[in-house]
Amino acid sequence: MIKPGLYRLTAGILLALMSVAFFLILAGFILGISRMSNLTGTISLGEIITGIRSFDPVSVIASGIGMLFIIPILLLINAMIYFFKTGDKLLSWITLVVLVFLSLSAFLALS
Amino acid sequence: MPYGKQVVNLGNIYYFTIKKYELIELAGNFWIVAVIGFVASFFGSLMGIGGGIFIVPSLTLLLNLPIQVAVGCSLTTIVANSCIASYNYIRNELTNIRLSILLCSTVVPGAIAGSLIAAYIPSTALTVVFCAVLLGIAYSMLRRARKKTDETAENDASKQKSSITDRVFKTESYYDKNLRAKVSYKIIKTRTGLISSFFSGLLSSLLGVGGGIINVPVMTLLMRIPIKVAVATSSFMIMITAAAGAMVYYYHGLIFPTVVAALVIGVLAGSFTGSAALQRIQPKNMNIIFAAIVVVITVLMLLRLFNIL
Repeated sequence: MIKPGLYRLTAGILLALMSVAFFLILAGFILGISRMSNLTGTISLGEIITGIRSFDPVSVIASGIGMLFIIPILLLINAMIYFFKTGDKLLSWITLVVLVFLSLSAFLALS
Repeated sequence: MPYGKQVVNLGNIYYFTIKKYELIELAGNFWIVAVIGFVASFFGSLMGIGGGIFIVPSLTLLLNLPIQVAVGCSLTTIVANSCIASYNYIRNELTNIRLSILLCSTVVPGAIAGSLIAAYIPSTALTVVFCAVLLGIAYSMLRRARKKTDETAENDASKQKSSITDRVFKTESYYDKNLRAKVSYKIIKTRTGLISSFFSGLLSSLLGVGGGIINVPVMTLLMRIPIKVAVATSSFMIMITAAAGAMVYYYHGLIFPTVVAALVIGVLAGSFTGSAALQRIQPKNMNIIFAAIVVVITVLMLLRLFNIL
């Protein structure tokens, strides 16, 4: 049986990151309506970093999307620490395996 | 050069819009995508299967985006949508976090495999698979309309046990606000759940749908998990699965941030409205109507595939 602490912490992390991600996506959308001339095309990490400084809509949106991708990774890290602390070794190892797979995807996305 | 940049142009939407309205500024396309997200999510929420199943055909048929791009954008939107749903479920302590993480050990590799396959197979093959799944959904909806299955089946945990179940799960419970009581349940057939989760992940990232259409029936009917916990747990799993798949699509340059932004805004509005409307609409004949809509979409996609439309 999981103690309510994990639920509260997970919900807190989810709300905080989700709010930032949606804010960035909405901000990029609003910026984009006035400035955007092309809906298509993707963007690299380097372009995002330089683009955010100049309030480039695509970069702002892409950083929001990046934040969305980070949410599951942080939630899993949180759960893994919880399971490890409570002595649930098998589940903490399973969580680690899932994290490795997710990190592999994240590494691919960033490369 | 990323795949998306080579293939995609919005030539068809210019054609589409110029033909109908003479001239629409490019900025207007944002609203078209947002409206697509809204309508898809609204109908998806009414059907209880999420909006992905409508977003992909809408983007391919109306905006003429390649199906891989439509799937990538749809997956990213699903991450956003399932984040909100998961937040509500976790706050109410309905999600079984242990179970979702255990099932994620197979669903995530499935999602990565699906997205890698999707990036390399031809659009034609992907469209055919998508159409086949759409027809399967339409068939299951027609069956659901004919006979209502009893989702609160008896929990016969004592009859079947597996080693993983015994080691990870004891008796689980959640607080049911409607019953105002604590409901206990025992999870069974974990191995079956793990195997089906792999295919759920594969299908989800291959086609840009949530995967709830597989997860929830498996959890309720096979693993004997109460429907509320199954929906909440599936939502948490979908968030992780869709993110894993979407990241691979991003690597292949198949996610367009601006399309995603417009979709996310439309989808969030659509899912709120759809959930609210679901409380008021009578479910009678709804499955038949939606099955007909799904069949029409399938036919349109096949016509587009053979260059008839």
